[in-house]
Amino acid sequence: MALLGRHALESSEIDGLLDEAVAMVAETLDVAFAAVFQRCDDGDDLLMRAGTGWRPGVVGSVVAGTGPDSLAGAALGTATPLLVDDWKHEERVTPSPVLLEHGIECSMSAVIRGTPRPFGVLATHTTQASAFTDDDVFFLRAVTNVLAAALTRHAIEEELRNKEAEARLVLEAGHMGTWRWATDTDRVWWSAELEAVFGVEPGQFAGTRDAFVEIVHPDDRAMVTDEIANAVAHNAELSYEHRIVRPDGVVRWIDGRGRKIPNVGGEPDQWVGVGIDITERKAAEFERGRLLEQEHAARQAAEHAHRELEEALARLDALLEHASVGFAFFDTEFRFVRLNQPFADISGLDFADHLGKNIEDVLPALWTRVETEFREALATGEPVVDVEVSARTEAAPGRERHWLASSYPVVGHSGDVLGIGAVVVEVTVLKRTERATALIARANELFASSSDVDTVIDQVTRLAIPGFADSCHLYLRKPDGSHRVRITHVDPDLEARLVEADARWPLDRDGRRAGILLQGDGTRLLSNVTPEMRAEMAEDEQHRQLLEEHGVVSAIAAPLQAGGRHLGALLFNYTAVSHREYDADDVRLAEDLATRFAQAIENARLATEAARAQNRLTVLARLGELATIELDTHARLDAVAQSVLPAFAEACAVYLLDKDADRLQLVAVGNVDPSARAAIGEPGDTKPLPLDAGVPACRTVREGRPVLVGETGPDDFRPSLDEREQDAGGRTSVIGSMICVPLHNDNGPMGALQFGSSEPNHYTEADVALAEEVARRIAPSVEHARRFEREQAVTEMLQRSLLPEHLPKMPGVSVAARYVPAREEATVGGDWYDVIPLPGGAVLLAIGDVAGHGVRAAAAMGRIRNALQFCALDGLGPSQLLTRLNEHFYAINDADMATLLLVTLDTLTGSMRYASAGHPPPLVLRANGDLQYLQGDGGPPLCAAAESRFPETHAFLAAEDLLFLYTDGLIERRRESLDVGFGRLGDVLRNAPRDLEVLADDVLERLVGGSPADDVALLVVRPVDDGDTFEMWLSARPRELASLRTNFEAWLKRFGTTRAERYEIVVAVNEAAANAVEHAYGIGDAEFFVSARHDDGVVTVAVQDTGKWREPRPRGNRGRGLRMMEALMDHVDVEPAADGTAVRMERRLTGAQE
Amino acid sequence: MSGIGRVELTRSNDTLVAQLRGELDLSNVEEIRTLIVAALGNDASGLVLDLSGTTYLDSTGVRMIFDLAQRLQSRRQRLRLVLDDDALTRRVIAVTKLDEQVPLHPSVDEALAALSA
Repeated sequence: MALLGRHALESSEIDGLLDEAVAMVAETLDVAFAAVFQRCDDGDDLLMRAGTGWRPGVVGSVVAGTGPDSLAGAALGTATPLLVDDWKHEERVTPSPVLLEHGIECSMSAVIRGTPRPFGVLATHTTQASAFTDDDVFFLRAVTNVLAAALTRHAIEEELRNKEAEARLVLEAGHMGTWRWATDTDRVWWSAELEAVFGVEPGQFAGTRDAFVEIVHPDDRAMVTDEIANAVAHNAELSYEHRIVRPDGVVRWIDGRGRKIPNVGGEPDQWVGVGIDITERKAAEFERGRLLEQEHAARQAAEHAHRELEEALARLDALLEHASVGFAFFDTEFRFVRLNQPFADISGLDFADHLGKNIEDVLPALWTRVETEFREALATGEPVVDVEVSARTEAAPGRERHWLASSYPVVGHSGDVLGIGAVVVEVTVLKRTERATALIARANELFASSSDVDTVIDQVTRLAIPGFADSCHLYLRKPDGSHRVRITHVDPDLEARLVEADARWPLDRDGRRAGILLQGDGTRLLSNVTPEMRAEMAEDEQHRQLLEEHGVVSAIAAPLQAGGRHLGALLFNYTAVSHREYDADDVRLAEDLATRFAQAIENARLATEAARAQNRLTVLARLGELATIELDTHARLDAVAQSVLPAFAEACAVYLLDKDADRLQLVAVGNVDPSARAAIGEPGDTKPLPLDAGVPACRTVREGRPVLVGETGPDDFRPSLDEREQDAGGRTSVIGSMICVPLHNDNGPMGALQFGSSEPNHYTEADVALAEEVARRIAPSVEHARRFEREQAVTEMLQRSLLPEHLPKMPGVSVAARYVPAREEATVGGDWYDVIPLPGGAVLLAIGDVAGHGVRAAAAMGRIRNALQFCALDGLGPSQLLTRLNEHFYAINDADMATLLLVTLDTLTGSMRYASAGHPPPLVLRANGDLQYLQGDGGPPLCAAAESRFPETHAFLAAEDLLFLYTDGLIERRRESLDVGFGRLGDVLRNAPRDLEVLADDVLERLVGGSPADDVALLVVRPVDDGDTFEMWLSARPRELASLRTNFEAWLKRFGTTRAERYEIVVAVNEAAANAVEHAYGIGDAEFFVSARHDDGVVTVAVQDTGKWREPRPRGNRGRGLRMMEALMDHVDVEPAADGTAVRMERRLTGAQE
Repeated sequence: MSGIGRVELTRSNDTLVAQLRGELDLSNVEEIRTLIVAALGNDASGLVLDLSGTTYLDSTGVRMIFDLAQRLQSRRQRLRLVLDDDALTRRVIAVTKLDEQVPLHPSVDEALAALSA
């Protein structure tokens, strides 16, 4: 077994191995017979391939069946060796003739496995029955295993060798082999190469024509046999291409060629040829053919699509012809491919003029509005729906039409966009209806929202522009037959010139211009206005040019009629701006607008009439109220002038005859619009009118009856304005109409009342009656005023003459004063004020009120004032002054009681001393807004008692503080507590303007309105920092002195001082300051104040402390400081007082700057 | 000492030289006077007050000089002032008639020479 195994591994020759195997089995088992049967390729038989013990001729020829009834066949089907112990009793298998021939009694067989099927069977036999043991069976099986392994290895090696040979052959032959065919025997020889081409094992080709045909692909067999038969029949060259199905199932293409070998000497016919494997070439050919086929199919599909499109378009055409909306189909370049008549109607061009043309060229106006959307549809493949388009086309050049345009991309079967389809629906009528509805709605809103004719007129012509007209003219007939005109145009510049032209060339009374009727009873439509028509209307060449520029191309003139009255006309024009044209629909809209407008005007007129009737009642009621209020004459006349406004008049004027009864003087005016006051003028700025003048006011007085002026001339209302003012340009033109009525007293006319309205022909006879009623009611007041006018003038003149003509001007302080006499003559006089400068920069302020009124009080006031001026120069303080005045006037028993407030103010330091003789307290408004009344003990009024005390109080007034002195007329009201008056004054002062003169006027205006019930005097004082002053508060500490010196010297440098001068002045100031420090009560929070002023080359210094100075001691060091001051300064004054000491020094500067 | 003025004290033989520099006013006079008096003692033959560096002198400064003069006189010590002819303080010296009580010299050397003479 080991030997056999080794041999099986080494041997490359199957026959040798099998021979050795059978010999070894027979020898080992000690039997005569052994054999190997090999299974044949067809699988039906087993051929004895090797054997031992058999008679000659058996090995290589005996065949055993593979069926289960033979010994070998049975072994094939099972892995277990088959043992036949005794053939005599064997029933499973039948003995073959060869076994019987050799007298075999006992047999054993085992399968030799192989891949993919068993190789065969190993069998051993003996002529003795039951010769084999189990070990023998096992042995046989082992041998077959060794053989199987060896044979499998051989089979693999052989297959490898065959494959290599095949590949080599194919390569060498170039897929080509040769054949030879003998026609007589029909035998066919194939070269090894051809066998390889046909996939036949070498030498295995059966060698017949049928065997060849068998390999040919069934589909090609008929062709191949026909070709062969044909070639043979015609002795022609054989050539064909056919497929074969190789035994392994692979299909190949073969190019077969052959020809008959020339026949020599009766030999049988023979054909030779080649077979070439052309599978690869065929594959390439096939691929090309497939591509060609695809191309062809694609071409056919395209043609089909085109036919389809044509059909679709044809169907579309049919649809389009009968549609009421516009359809069009454009290619991708927006050229018309198809359209229907409604679409062609858009342009007004012929149907044929569209096709092939670009929409941009055919419908440029439309295209500019839809280009974006259409291009978008083309680009995105998404439809665009309902784009609103308004345009004018050649079809109707003067008419704007409206459409809703939609576009959708047209996509072919291939998915490509073929073009754009468009659907256009005309909505012009709808649009126009909408527009008309909107216009009417706006008009209704306007007419409903305003009952004011002016507003309505102002806006109605704007309504139509620019939707319904480029320009709009309104002509409203006035009572005198002229027209009120309102013109609007889309271009404001042209509008202004049209207005100007209309004023220059107005319509005549019949509503014609240049003989052409613009304003008639019926509506007129001029749908197409030609240049000739425009020229006809022109008044001259300049007018013609303007009308040409205006360029009306179409117009509607609608009459304005309401309540059977013809009011005017409303003109709507389309011009060169839009080139549109009116049609019948527009006429209806114009008429509708005109009717509504006329009704609105009529309603406004009726409303005005009703309002005026109401106004008359209002005016009478107000006049009744006036009679119950106490007012002086001027106030009453002013009140009358105001009370008729605005209900009855926009302006009112009152004239009175002067004492010689030959001139009229304007005494009061009223005007609704304050900005127009200049047009009416102020009473005082006009000259008296000679009574014989022709103006309405004079006529009324002369004739003693009302004058109604429907349209006033330029100087009718205010003839008293001087020429310069009248020349200033139609100021009185604000008055359009007026009424003038006389003011009567018992002796006849004493003046005139004048009422004016900006509107011409505003007043009616009913208004005249009202005016007369007004005059009748106020006449008694006016008469009363005239009687006392002169007396009052005398008192006031005296009073004013006794007051200072000018206030003294002082550095460091601003002062303003006012005296306003009482409006009633009976209460004029007695209030006064004075401002008296004192040596050393102080000032005495006085304000007083003498009891009683009239000339007597004025005279008493004058005497007190003189006495005060005299005493003040003695250097007395407020308290001493009051004491002296009281003694004096009480003694001579010459004056009524009088109140008086005196204040001395040091303008350098702001230090104030004041004392009061029964006078209201002064008021101080601090720079920070704090307000305080300077309360003091005060004394009784002057002349109240023989001996009165007037305590003095001290206060400070800093720069920018305000001291306010006044008399009680400013704050007192009847039935009102004084506190209320004080509060009112404080409120006014807090919000008063800064400038003192303006402030004084403002306070008077706000508190007494320029016409007080009692006299009013006031005096306002404010210390000002004018740069020439020095002010410094210092703590009472020695170390402060160096700072003072530095600051003071710096200040002195401003005024051209020499170095020595500055040094000396600084030393003097320092000495005074050192004293203030030394004298201060303690060294705590005490302060002192250094102030100085430079005025005209003189420096005045004041050092004010809160301590008490000692008199200088002749030999003491303290006295030395004072002596130094006196030596260094021109003048030194020390004022000791209970609450502090003031040092005042002066020095004149030499003026040389170092 | 107040920042505005100061005194520098030196001795020349038995004479005390006090140089007053800067400003003398109510705020520092007392302090300066104390320093000088302390330095003076009873043995010095005299005091030279050099005011040539004094930029400001008020009545308290003048008073201090008068006080010193009185004090020195009672101890038989002598006092000399040094002051430039064109010094601004000269006006104050003149106004207070200090120059009538205390001799003035234009320099310290001259003042010392006058004292030793």
